[in-house]
Amino acid sequence: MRLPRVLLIDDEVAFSRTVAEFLRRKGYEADIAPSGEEGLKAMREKTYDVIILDLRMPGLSGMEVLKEIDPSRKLAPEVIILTGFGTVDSGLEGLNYGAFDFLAKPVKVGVLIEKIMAAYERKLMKEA
Amino acid sequence: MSARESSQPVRRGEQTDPLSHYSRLFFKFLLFSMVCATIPLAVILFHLHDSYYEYSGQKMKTAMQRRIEANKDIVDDYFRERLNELHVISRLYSFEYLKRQENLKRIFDTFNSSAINYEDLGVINQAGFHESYVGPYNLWANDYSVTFWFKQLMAEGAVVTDVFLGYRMIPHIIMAIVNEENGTRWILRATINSYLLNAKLRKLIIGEAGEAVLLNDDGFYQAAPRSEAKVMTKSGHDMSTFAKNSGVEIVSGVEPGETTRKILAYSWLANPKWVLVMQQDYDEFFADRAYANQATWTFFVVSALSIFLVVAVSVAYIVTAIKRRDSELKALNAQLVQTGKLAAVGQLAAGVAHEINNPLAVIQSEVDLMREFGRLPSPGSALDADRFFHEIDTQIDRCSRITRKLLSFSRQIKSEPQPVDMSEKLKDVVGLFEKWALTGGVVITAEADPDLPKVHGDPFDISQVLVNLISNAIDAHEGMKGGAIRLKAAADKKEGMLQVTISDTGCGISREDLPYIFDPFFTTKPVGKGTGLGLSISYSIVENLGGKIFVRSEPGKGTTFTLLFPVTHEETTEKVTSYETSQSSPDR
Repeated sequence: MRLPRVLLIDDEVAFSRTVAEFLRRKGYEADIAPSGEEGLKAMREKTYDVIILDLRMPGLSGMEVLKEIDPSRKLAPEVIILTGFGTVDSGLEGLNYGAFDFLAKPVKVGVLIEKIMAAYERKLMKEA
Repeated sequence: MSARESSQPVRRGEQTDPLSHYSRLFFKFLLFSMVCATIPLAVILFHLHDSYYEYSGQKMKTAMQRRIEANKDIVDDYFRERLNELHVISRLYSFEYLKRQENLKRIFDTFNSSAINYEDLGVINQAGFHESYVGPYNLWANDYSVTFWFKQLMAEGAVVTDVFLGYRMIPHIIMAIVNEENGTRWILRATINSYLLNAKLRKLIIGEAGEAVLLNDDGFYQAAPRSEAKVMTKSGHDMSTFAKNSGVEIVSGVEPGETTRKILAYSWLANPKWVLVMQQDYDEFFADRAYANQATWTFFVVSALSIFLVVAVSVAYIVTAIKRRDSELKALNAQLVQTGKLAAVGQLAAGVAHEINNPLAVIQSEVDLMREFGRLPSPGSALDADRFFHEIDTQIDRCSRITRKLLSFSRQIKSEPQPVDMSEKLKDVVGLFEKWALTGGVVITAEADPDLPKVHGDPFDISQVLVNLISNAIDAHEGMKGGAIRLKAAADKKEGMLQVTISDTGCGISREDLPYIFDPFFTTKPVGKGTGLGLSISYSIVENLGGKIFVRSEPGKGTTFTLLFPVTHEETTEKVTSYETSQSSPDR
């Protein structure tokens, strides 16, 4: 099984850069996007398996990006919401729009990788 | 004088004002109720009083009219009887018979026996001299053919004269008739002295100040029983008053020097051409009116006093109730403000949590990266430890900046009113929200005029207002691509106030919601998101500071809140500055 391709969409670039470096060192293919618009653009250029999505960003908000991705589509990537403004409400909303899971910052990268793998599994099952 | 002392008058003024407000309310209520209660009473009493006056006036006129006419008949009858008696004598006895003195004397005595009616009685021949005479005067030598009444008598056959002095030089009237016997004319003449007439009229006098007089048609007194000296003098009555056959008139100032009102009842006699005038003092006659007047007034005053007492007691009760309710409301408001402070802290918490969680996430990921790969010989490029430490430092810095701001905010929760520097306050509060807003694409800018006057108030209260308005402004951009919030502080020299405007480019407030936004518990946010207290608390804070808060909003375009704060006196801020300087000077 190949490792999933991951896109981190977060305006907190210091964070996504570090996580991406971690993932790359683990053998994942990982890209970063500093905004929702950039993230959607990246997804048009390349196919990703899992998206790590921040909710609160200037410009397009995470929730809007999530709606755009629509993970319920057959070939759509799985989305893990990761936000510093973690409330049950926004988590539930995200799940309603088809997000795979909801994580609150700060998060251990190990935990994040577990979630990425779980999401990737679901994606593979969805495709099969 | 310290800063606190110089700021006292403002507060004292605020506190004494409500007291006078309630007493003003009391007097307003009282006045209104008294007017409402006494006006109908006064109208009814006036109407009753008026009707009674009219009724008694009518009754008086009728009574006086009846009386004057009855009395006139008496006086008329008196003169008619006397004339009849002369006619009877002249028909019963011949001229020859009456010329004899003893005969005339017997007749005179007979007619004067029951009551003294005549002063004297005489028989006068055609030439105008006495043939016979019974009476106290010596009139034998007098030629009556030259007198004023003789010609009239000859022409008309009978005469009753006005009072005059005549040969005897004593006021009297003459009654005379002409007879003709075998071609010879002779006169039977009787006189009635003035005192007899007065005695007759005295019986008609009514009341203490009442008077009955007889006047001739020129207005000269013919009889005046109360003051006989007036006889033959001209009366003060305006004779045009007695224009009708008889009547009742009310005149004022009949007597010179007196302005009292008089009731004049008059009736013209048949013969002589005199008028009987009964004069009655108006006030004496209407003594019962005065009594009714007094009773009415007493009733009115007593009623008004009892109404006043009842109204005063109930109004005092109402005003006390209002006062109690107001103070309860005030206490409730104070509670609400306290609740609002907590709400403001809660509002901050969201931003602060985001602000701290983000750097923590960076630190966490950096640490995870270092833990995982730092100890091993790196498969790819080597980990840069310097970059790692620098990143951790940066993020810790971010965290401590935000906690410092939060601390400075929470320290003010229990603060005292003092001069507040608005430009610094804006900087502080904006600092708390800036980053949080930016993650939502909203740029907050704050600008303040240089040399702004200071605002007197509780620094936390002022922060709270700004926190409420800014966090609302951020929320107003929810679901939008981004926007801007502009804060501006400027001195409003015209009003002597400091003006702070907070404009946003958010969703705006709908026309229907706008009137209610300052009401407690009014919120357009989803359940669990807004308490509906922020604006109502901001409103009471600004009002309590003696300021004003306005809002202008255009749905879809944005909202602008304008706050006006009263400024402290220039003097105060200067003193504070110098005070602080001297405190911190090194030689202390």
